[in-house]
Amino acid sequence: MKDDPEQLEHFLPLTPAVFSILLALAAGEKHGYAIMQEITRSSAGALRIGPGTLYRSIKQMLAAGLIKESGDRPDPALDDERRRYYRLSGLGRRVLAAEAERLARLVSQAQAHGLLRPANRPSIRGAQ
Amino acid sequence: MNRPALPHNRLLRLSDALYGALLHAYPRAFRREFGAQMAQTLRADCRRVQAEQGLPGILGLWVLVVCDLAATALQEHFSQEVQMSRSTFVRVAGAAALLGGALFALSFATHPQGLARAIVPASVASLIIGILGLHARLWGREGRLGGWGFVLVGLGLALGLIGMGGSALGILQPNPVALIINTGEHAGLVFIGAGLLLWGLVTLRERALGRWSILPLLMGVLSLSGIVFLVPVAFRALEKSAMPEVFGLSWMLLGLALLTSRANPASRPTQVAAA
Repeated sequence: MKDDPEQLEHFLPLTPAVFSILLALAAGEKHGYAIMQEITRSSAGALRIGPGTLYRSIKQMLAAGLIKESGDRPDPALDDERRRYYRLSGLGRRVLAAEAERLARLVSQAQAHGLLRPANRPSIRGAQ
Repeated sequence: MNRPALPHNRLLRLSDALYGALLHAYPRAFRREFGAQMAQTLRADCRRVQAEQGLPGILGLWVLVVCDLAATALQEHFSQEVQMSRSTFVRVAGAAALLGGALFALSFATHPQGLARAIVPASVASLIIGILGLHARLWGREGRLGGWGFVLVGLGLALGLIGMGGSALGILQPNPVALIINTGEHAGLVFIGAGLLLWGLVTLRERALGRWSILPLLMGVLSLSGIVFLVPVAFRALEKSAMPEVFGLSWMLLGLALLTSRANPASRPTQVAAA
């Protein structure tokens, strides 16, 4: 399904918490604590969100249709069956991509103004 | 051998009990929906931090938790208040539009005299409240198109209120600027039409009034017929036709739509951005 680009723009900019949660769910469905761990891991501990911010964001993203609660439950022997799992919706994935593009444009502008040197880009260096 | 672990377990139980009590800082609906998950998440995080960093880690985690809880509990209370007061206002405005439309149609059907003529400005005042209700329903989703619609409709209704108020109270009769005010009042109908046309497009795009979403667009087309005020004979014929009653009826339907339709939660991107 294609979205009106203007409609996607309505969601932007995302807060760091919402962006990070969507990013954490991009790899697959997760429960709240797994999302929290993924955010801490991927930001190398620079971004830590508390349970309040996590579930308040989840509530708003559910209402906006960016994420969905997953109906699938893991084997109770492997995980706590009371845990609720969340996954990205199609809209959520498109909004996440739009935000990533917006941030990439900002990074390009910062580079054009000489604010970012190659040494400040560990992810790019690491990818080479 | 289990003895050294007991204080740690006690610490986790204490943390659990304290967080369970602090969760009451959140609004009840939020707590019911997410409280158990939040407590479960903190419990798991506490276990990890305790294993990795011991008591200092737990204390550090609790500093984050308390700050997070204070900020998000306040935000959640505030957003629920705003949402509740906005939906209440939309319903009040719906009732006002219903009343305003009925008074408007009644005034044209019965041509009231004397003090009863006050129902004319009263009807327009009610319609203004009604239009503010539609504005509240579209809040955050209007965009530039809706912004212009609001300006045009507001201007049109203000001109209508001034003209109809002056005319009803008889203060325009000996007034040399009566012609200007009357012209403004008639032009006001056209402003309302143009504004509702823009709002109609936004309402349709957002499905903001559910199955009634087409209504503002139809009302816009209807109001634009007021452009015939440029030809006085045609405008007088329009006033004598059933058009004013239909106009009033359309506002009554808008009032019903505001009263009965529900906000579409899937179209609230601004809340996500503000999370």
